[in-house]
Amino acid sequence: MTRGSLTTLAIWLAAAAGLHACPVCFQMDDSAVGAGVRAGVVVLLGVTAVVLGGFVKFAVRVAKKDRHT
Amino acid sequence: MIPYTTERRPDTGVTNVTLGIWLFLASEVMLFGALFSAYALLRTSAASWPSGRDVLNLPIGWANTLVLILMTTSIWRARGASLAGVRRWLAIGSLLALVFLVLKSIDYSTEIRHGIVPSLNTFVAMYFTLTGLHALHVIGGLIANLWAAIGARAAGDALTAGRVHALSLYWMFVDAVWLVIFVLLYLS
Repeated sequence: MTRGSLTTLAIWLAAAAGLHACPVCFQMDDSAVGAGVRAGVVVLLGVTAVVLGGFVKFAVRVAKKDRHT
Repeated sequence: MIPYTTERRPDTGVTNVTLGIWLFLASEVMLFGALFSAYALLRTSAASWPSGRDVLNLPIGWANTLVLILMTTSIWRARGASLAGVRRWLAIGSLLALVFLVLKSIDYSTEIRHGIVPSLNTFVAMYFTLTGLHALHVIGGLIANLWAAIGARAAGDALTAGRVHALSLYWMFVDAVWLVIFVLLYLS
């Protein structure tokens, strides 16, 4: 492992405790705003998944077509 | 002339027109997806959320739904029709799109007269944002319909068929978005 990687790992581990204070993940579990944020994220993830799924399907289709020609 | 506008590309299996409209629709899905995500966030986190049945004009909403479905059907009827048939169906579709916009304008003016304006609450703000953006798409589709109908004779059969195909996909998308808006805002 290089010195740079060790430094990065050390910084990452040192910052890990701080991440637990993130209000989005750990402070709004019971609030209506937290539920709203989660619902918004789920909808956006669903839409993104559908669009990316379409792109993947198209790429697979082109690759299959390429194999047959 | 841009290649593969009328014949299919050997690598993708579709014409450039079809590929272009699908890419455009993908970006449109993301645009409306972001707004629906905002709707989910605001509605779920709101302490109280009014029912669209009490606030909005449901009969006009139903009428607009019917008009939009008929309009999309007419554009789909234009697929595979003769040049004269294409022009006729596109003209009918354009007329129906105009009816939709007139009904929506009446709807908006009535609501504004009754004090239902975006600053009233989050529900109304969301309603004007979503339906306004949708109406802009209807205006864009109407312009595209007229452009395809007027230019059909000069463009010829093959090019017009590609344009009508792209338009039918576009209107299907506009229809689908309206149905989601109608269910989320008017019926719930």
